Amino acid sequence: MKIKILISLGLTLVLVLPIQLYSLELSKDLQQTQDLVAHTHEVMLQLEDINTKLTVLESNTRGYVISRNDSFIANYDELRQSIRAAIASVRQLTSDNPLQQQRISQIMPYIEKKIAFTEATVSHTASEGIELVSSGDGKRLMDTIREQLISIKETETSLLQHRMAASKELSDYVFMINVIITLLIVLVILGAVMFIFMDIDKRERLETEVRENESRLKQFFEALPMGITVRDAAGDLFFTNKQGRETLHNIFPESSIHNLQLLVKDQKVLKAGTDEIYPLEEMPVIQALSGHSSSVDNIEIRNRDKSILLSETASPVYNSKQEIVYAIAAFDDITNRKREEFELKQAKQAAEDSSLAKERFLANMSHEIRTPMNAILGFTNLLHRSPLIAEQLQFVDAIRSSGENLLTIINDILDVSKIQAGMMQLETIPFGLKPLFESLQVLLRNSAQEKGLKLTIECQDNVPWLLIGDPVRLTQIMYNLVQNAIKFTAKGEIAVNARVQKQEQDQCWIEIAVSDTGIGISQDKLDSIFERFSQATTATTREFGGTGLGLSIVKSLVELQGGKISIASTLGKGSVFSVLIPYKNASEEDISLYSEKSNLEEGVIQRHLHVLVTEDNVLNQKLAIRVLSDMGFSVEVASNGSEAVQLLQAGQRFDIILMDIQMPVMDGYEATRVIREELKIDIPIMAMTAHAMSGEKERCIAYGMNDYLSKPFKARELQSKIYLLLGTDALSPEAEFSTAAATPTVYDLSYLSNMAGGNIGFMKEMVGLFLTHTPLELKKLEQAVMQAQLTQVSEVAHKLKSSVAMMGIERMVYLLKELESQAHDAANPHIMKTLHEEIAKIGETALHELGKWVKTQEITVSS
Amino acid sequence: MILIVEDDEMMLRALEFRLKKDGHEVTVARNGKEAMEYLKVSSFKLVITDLMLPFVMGMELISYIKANHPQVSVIVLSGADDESTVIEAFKLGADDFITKPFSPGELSLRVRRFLVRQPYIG
Repeated sequence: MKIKILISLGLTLVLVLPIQLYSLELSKDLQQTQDLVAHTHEVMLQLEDINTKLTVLESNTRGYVISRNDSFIANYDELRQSIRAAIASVRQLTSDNPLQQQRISQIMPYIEKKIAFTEATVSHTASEGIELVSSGDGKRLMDTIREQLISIKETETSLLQHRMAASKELSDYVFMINVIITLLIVLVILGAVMFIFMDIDKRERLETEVRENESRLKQFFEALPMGITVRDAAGDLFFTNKQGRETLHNIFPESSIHNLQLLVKDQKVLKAGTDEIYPLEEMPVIQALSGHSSSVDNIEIRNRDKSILLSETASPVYNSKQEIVYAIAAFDDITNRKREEFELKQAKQAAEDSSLAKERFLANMSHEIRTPMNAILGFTNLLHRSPLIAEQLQFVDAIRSSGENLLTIINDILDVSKIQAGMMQLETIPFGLKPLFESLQVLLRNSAQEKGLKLTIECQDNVPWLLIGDPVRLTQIMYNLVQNAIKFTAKGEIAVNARVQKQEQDQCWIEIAVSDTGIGISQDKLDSIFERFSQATTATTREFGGTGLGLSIVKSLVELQGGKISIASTLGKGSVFSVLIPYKNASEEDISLYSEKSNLEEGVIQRHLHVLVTEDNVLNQKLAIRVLSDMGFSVEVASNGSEAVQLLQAGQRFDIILMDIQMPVMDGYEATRVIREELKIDIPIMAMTAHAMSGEKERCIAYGMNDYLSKPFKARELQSKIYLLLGTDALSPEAEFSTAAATPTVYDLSYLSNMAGGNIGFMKEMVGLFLTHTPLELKKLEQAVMQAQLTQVSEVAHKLKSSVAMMGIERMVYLLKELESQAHDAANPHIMKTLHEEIAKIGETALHELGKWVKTQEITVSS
Repeated sequence: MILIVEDDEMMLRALEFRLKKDGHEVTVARNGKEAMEYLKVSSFKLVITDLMLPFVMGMELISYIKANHPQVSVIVLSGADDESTVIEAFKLGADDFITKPFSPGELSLRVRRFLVRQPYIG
């Protein structure tokens, strides 16, 4: 705009200036021409004057001559003078014109002659004068002069006419140029005005557009379904959109919150779910004002009884100089979301708690049932082998089969819950399908024979002799399917056939078909056969028994291994169950390792072994002794972990330890830990536990045990596991146990450490408390025991128990418990004294050892 | 706010440490009488109390709480073997029990159950 104005002005100037200069020049010319015209007029005036004066001179002379009156010649000299002056003037005026000069020069002598003639006329006497005048000389002279003057005059007149014309022409020219200039200026101005107007239009249009854009942008902000606030560097509210205003209005109905700092100062912004004031510097807006973008979702704003939760994201806004001028924040009311999250979390927690409870319940139930089942089945088997009369044998058989059924049901239920809970863990170890089938044959031969059925289990030759997968689960699947087939087949045969269905690069699909000649399943029941608690008909249940879980488990197990199960059946003719499972191909390494292991197994088979059974249940102790003795092993028993440790400490040597997990005084885990870490004895330890839940095996291995057998166990299984465990060590009976071990302590701070969450300071404080309080309590206990104040004894023992437990002095806890119950039951004072003696002894040791512990901690801390 | 009533200094400190670590506000009393004083002046959401206490026994404390401050939950601390006392405590209105020595995780869990914070209401 400005530039345009300047350009048009410049253009006008550029156009006008030279023309004006030219016109100025022309005006000068005009002036000169006009001057010249004036000059010509002057010349002609002078010429006229000369003529007049000469005429006056002549007439005066004549007058004087006639009258002799002096008045005629009174101004004679003056006249003569002025004539001469006029001539000089004309001469001067026409100095630029040579022709006129020449004419003047010519006229000059005549004028002088005329003057001289008049003088002569005057100076002569009257008659002479008259004569002279009458001669006519004067007249002739006069005529000549007049002619001359006229010619000069004519020249001047023509000059004047010429000059007048030139002047007119010039003035016309000037006029024309002025008109042109004016027109030009008008044109330029018009053009400029037009351009400027166009510019203004354009500018207005742009401005409208910008305004529209601005308002549209604002509308966008306004319409955003989340709160937007813009705050300036002081934290003052600069802009809020609709949603933002609504959200803020909900919590502050009386007025909006203008300044952030004030809000925080008023203690209205808090960390969600706490009473902690939200630190200003942590707020995204403030962060944004210092140049950082951030987002949080834990802002809680409280006003009176209202509260909202906000999530907020903020970024800095820069001006063109890259200075932060605003912070823009987007916030969302997440009160509902948070509440839902919270409720969901609670629900999840509740669900987890209940699932944990269920798992625990199952684990406990299985433990509680399996422990006695172990004794029942074990002794039944032993009883079966003893000489019995026929009727007794029948009873024993009945007990045995009922027991086994019960066990199957328990195992089924456990398996189902494990599968349901996703806790079923699969192994991937090398195994041979053929040996697995052989043992399956042995396992199932009897059941088939009992019903007079033929059982053939075959494996095609192209099946790899070593596969990688879970042999235990496969056995379970096959066992279930064959048992199922036996159960529903009255006569005929059961055939199992394995073949390679598909050989892929790294895995091999094995198809195993189990066919029977049994009752078959009608087509409409085929679909539901694998459902839980489903049997083809309810009559089936009455006739054949069972929980109806077997096939459901089989299906789950097959599918867990990535396989498929299908069934083809004709009612009354029989069924074929086909299982298809992918197994990894065994590598060279797997094959060599496996063959080595099997060789070793062969090698140790007839060795005599010395076994330590660590088991608290007397019945199970007896059973283990019997079973192991039958295998030709010698057996020693420890009633708990502590006893086992003592035996080893005393230098006793064993080939293997069978370790129960749940035992009083010292459980199997702890005993293993002591044996491994403190006694540093590398003896094979096999866990034997009625805990059958998943993770148990891993836990045992983690504690340093070598293998795991769940109770109730089968003698054969136990035997093969023992053989498998005793690798090279068993072959060298002279292998020595290292008996040099770190001195064990009576205390165990693992519980305390767990509770302290690694906070050594707290642990030290607790041990310190123990060291100060315990001697006093022990003294009180001693007095009470000595004076047989039973209530006192019971109370002190009870109190001591918890702190002693915290220090992990298990033996002392046990003794205190005993003492407490003894005192409670008003028992034999002698027993109480014995108990107290041991308590005092351990207490002293513990105090001493813990004192040392505190010192080592101090050294550790100070060093 | 949680009130712990326990005369055994170590047990008291252990509970206090653990609960404070979990972020709870904790007040401690070393006997039943002191506990009652606290209950009169401050409001608690939860009381964790031992049963064998000097001056005022745990059982009396539970009856007092349930009679005068029924909104306060009570967790009873008990030895692993005194089932009968726990049952008696439940009869008096105790809400839960924890056996000594307590498992830290269990303590946190049980306490949390009673102290479900409700910051999103209102």
